[in-house]
Amino acid sequence: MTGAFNEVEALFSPLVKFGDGTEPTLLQAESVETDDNVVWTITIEDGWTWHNGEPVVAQNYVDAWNATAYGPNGWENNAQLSNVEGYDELNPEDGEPSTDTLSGLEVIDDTTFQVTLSTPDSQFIYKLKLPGFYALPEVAFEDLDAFDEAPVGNGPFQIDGTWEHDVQISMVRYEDYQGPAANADGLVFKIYSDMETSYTDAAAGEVDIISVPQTRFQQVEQDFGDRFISFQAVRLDFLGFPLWDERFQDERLRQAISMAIDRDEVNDAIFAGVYQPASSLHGQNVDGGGTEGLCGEYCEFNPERANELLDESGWDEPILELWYPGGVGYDQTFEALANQIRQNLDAIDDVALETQPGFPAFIEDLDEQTVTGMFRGGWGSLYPSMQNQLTEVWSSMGSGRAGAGSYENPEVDQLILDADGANTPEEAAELYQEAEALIMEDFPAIPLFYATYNFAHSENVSNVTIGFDEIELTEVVVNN
Amino acid sequence: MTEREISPGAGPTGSARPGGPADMEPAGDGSQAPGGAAAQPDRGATLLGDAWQDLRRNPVFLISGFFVLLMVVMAVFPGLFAGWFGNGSPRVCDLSRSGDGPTSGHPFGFDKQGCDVYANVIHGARASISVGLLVTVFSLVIAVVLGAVAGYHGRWLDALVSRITDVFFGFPFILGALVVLNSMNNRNIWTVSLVLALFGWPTMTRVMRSSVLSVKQLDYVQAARGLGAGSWWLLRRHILPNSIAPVMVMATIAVGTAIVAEAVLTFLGVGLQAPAISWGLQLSNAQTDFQIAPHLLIYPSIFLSVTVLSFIVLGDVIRDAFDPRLR
Repeated sequence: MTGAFNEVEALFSPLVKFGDGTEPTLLQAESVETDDNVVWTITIEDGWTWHNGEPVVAQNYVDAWNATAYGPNGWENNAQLSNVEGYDELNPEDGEPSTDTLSGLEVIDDTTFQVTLSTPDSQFIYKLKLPGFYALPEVAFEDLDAFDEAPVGNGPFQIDGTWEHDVQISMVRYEDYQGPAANADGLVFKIYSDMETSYTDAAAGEVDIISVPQTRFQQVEQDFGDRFISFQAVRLDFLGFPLWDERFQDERLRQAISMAIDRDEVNDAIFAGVYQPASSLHGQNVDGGGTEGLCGEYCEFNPERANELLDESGWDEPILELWYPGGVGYDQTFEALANQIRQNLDAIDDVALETQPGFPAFIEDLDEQTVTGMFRGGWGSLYPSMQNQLTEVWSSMGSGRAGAGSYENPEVDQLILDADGANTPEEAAELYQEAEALIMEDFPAIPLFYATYNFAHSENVSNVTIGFDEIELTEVVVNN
Repeated sequence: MTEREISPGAGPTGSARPGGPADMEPAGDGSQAPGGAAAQPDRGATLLGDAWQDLRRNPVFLISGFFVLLMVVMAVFPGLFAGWFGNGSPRVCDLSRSGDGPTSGHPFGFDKQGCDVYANVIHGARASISVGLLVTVFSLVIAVVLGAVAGYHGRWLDALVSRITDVFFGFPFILGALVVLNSMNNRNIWTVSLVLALFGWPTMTRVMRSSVLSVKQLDYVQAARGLGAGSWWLLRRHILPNSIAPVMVMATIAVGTAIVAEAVLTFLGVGLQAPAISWGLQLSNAQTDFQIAPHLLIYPSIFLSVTVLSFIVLGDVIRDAFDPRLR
């Protein structure tokens, strides 16, 4: 496992979930309603209890959201609540906030609360899946440090003992769970420092479900057969450009490089065909339908046209730089891309690979705009709405825009805002697609692949489903 | 300028010159072979002469020497070998042939990037041999200077050098290099060699020091000193030439060790970096795909082991030849 999502989802149940579909389905919520995309009324199902027996009430949600949004707490998911009214007061630019509650939250009764947003957001229901929108029990606020080690949740599993750092987290089924009950009696999350080791262990049957490291894509079919599951998530891998650098202003340069890359060949050779060559920013598996093909000829492999475009662009240096974080297993991928660009563009003698020591250093260079060549880009949407990637990566209000060369286009911003305020999901999807089309016209980055979540499981378990919430833990059946 | 203009004119003499020693050599050999040991004492460098007599008849020396020579030539002129099968460039890659086995023109098959493995293996010799030689030269220079000074001067200087040597002895060779290299961003042949040398000189320094210590006591050194010879002159004329043999022999073996160290560090991801072409990198890349494409691991390993083995065996036979106790 690379992240913490599965662990959190085993212990806590959000208001909505996705499974392997793109539509949000209600989990702990009984209803999520709005008339204007601004004021949302959320009713939770009656009868749910925390693992310590206390009932789950609307106040638990409001308390948790307030604490997350309270700037001085410095909680990881703080920004997810930025559109709830009153967020700005809790996160002043300087000084201490004068209040510690969001003015946009109101408890109606034990099972109902109301959320007021700063701007209309037609996709708000999708966001209820994000960890920042989970509830926390009262006990969490009494001793947060102890809660961190042994969380009390409202999910299908409860923690057995405490979190054994760097070793494992074990859990048992919560018998009073009100959602779909788990098939397995318990589960243990094993913590590995190296994904290669976990892969070998899974192949030997020592561990049951693993996330497959990129380096093993070539042999995973051979090792796991139909126990290898590849799920088309909403994830885009792309090459970004330092758009602040004059030399990269001409979009024909970016298009030329894009057309010099044979995505199919890279996909086959490096990813064993597990990914899908990208021809837009969103693949098919997104609400409202995908946008494949938006990129047009510029995402098709055509060295001849690529060379023409490069000549027209006025690029006159024989060496291109390609930046990526080192030490995380990307070397073969970027070597392949560099080889493609070098061999297919006649005017390019070499593509210099510039590696940074790990992700933090790489992100820092992007934030500080010290990158002087094209670079690795990627964005996995946490919920299957186009809103996530478009807002976070390609709009001027995004938190991940540095990772796309700090692209900015006021028209794109406006279209995204319009979509956020749309009345129907169809209308929203249409506007998001318009925004995306506009971005593709500017061509700030090169779409490479629609990436996938890749998991494999041993013969000890069956009915393993991978979806937007990664592993559907409650559905896994342990074979005897 | 004028000299250069003259030299073509002086061609005949120029070409005759190399002929001189070449002509003499067989003569020298001829006189030595029958004369045997008796002829040796007259020639001054007795140890060297004896050793050479031994070595040139030793098949192990000839074989390992041949391979070392071959690898060195390969490192200097990879083009001579790489083009044998028509695809000499290690940088011409065709992704569609990624991981394919041997075909005509590509005797070792293709790597993950679709590049010719044969060409890459041939070009990989340069990084390994360069690191091996650079590390040895750096360590040797440090060892000879420090060892000679410490051994000859003695007293506090000797104590100081010995303690520093002890400190560096404390670091395990590979571990020390791993830690230092890990903190470096851009690693190339020079930085890797310097770091390896940093942890490689202590052993040689100790050998050098003890060798100088024993030579210093010899009668002819005492005699020269009695006749008023200066320190610098003594060191240069008598002590160094007579004490350097053991450390030189050690250096030959050290080349092999350094090559292994480079490959190990690169394999672990802290040595050379792409786009450098090195056997360590090739092995490192091959490890994850071993089950699908074993040839990617096998060919670089063969070249690496043959090279290391040659250097170490060569060093070994030279050591034996130079060790008077084994005569």
